[in-house]
Amino acid sequence: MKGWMGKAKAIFLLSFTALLLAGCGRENLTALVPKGYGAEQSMKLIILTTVVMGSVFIIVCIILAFVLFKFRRKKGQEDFIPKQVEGHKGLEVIWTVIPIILVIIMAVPTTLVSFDLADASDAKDHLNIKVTGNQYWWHFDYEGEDIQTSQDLYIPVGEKVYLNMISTDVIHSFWVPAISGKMDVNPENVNTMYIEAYEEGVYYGKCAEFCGPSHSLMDFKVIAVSKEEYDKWVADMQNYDPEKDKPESAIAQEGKELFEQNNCMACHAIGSSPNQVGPNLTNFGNRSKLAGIEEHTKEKVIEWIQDPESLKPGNLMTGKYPKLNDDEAEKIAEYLMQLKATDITPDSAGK
Amino acid sequence: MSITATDKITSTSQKRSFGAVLWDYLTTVDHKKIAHIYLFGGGFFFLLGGLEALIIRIQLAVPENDFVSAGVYNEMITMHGTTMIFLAAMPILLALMNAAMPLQIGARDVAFPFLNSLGVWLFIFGGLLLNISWFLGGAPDAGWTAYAPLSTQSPGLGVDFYVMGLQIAGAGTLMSGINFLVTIINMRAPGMTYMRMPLFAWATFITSVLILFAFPALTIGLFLLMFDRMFGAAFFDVALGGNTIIWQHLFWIFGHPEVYILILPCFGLFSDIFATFSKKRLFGYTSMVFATMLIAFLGFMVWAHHMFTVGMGPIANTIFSVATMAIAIPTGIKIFNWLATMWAEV
Repeated sequence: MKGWMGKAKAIFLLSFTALLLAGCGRENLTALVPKGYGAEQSMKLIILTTVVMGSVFIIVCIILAFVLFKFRRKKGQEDFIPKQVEGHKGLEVIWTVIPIILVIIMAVPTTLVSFDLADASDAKDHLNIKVTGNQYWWHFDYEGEDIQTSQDLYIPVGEKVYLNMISTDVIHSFWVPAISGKMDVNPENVNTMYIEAYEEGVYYGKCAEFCGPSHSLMDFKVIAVSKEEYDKWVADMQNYDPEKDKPESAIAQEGKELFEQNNCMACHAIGSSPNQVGPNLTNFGNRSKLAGIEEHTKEKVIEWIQDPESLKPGNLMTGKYPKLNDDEAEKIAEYLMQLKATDITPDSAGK
Repeated sequence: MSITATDKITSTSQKRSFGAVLWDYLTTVDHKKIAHIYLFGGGFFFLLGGLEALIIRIQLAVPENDFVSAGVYNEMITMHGTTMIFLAAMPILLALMNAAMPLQIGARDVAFPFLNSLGVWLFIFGGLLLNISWFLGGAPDAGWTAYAPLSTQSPGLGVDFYVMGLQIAGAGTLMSGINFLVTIINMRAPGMTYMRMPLFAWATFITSVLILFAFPALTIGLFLLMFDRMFGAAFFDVALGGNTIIWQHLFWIFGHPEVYILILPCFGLFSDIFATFSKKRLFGYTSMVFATMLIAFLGFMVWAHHMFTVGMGPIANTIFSVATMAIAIPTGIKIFNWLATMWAEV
């Protein structure tokens, strides 16, 4: 490095690297900044194996570069024939045994972590949530609590939460990279995985098994709140009675009537209900995102109601209800946006 | 004067009409010409798969892009993966095996020349059938792995083209594998014992064993998928007592050895090329041969490492992950032997 040009170059290089690493993912969506038990265990394995394999890679590259440079054909040596060797027992034993040792170094921690993360022996002592994967949305049923939510999964921070997962259609995969590894959501059997978030926050979840046209839009959020906030959320959700929840404004009241007239209830439950044909809309006003992906605004809700296909191709809502005009859609949106069962919201998780 | 005369003779004898050359290639059973067909067929599909990759990349260049619709994008990723694996990478390697292996072992041709030509044309027609789907209602869109039940529920005929196209192309590959095995076992020149064969011939032999044992799993999987989609069977229909995970097992029992079907011939090439250009015999020939066999053997024991998230439990996951890591050992032997081959004493 010469003078200020060198320094500028160094700074440029450093900032470029930082930019590149920032591209690795937004916070709460990256496995490289673990915020939960499973992700932390995985990260330890990632570091261990990267160090082991990276060292081997670098050593091999150095030997290769040395060999290519040192033993290349030089001017005046075109007729040179190197000494013919058949092999070397000692050397061959060395480069068989060293990899065996390296594999053992990687295999033992991998085995321990695999068994640790799959251990479900204390499931009974913890919160159990039934997770259902659907094209292209997620449903969460808090077992024994009479609470159902869709798209937003509220959990208490610092506690093990068991997820028992099954799919209603094709195979999906539940993945919240910042908190834990993946687990497939199969149609034929219940798969169990536990998650534990270390910090409060809204964590981004993705479907990680190709499941159709809107696979990349099958997002959900895990909202980790403090124990007190979680308890309050549970109480609010359990006490919520859709019958008693009168819409504040006249427009919303009309929206409620339209919601009932158009038979939206056939698929969408409001309040605790086993109906999960479509997402449960209790507490819809507090959703972090619309349909898991869009800004949660009234305009987007109207757009969704009128043409869900344009936002989520291949979704199962399209064509299942009568066409709604702008006025009707706006009223229904107004009604849905004021559906708030609690004041524990994604903002409570302190972004 | 005499020079001009010979020139004339050669030029007239080489000048054949395009039709004659074409007819020659269409009807040939010669292993080198079949190698050309494999190379050009594979090269054509390689370009096609590359175009599909280009479209995928344009779509992914900026967020929220509308270059292609979600459905077309899925057709692109499916066809790109399927084309590159089955119709580009494998045929190009089969071209090389066809061209070089008989010469390396001192045989005049492969054991069953007609079967060889049948194999290459099955590959060509399987590939064409798969790609005709673009014009007949849409290409397959369930991913190159075609996981059930996404593949059984996929509307339209796309996945049916996938099933039929791969079944036909796969039959051709299976024939080639058997053909190479018989050739190497029976047609080595006098004195060309197994342990004197060049490493590429060895790699062809071991790859053919992989083809022989891996492709039947794919064949069965594709048959089950075909029965489900076309004849109302329920192998992968959970509601009727089927099981979707079976498809993943069948697919990867083929799919992982497929990885080694693609890489082992290249390993064989490396061995022969490094030795030739280093003007040395291959360092540790015997251990190289056995390392190749070990990689192939372990290659059959690791398929479920594509399925760690399926929920098979920690015991299966651990066995398959340790077996996967174990492949590093024979692979390491190969890499260090190559480095030692290039290591000359000056």
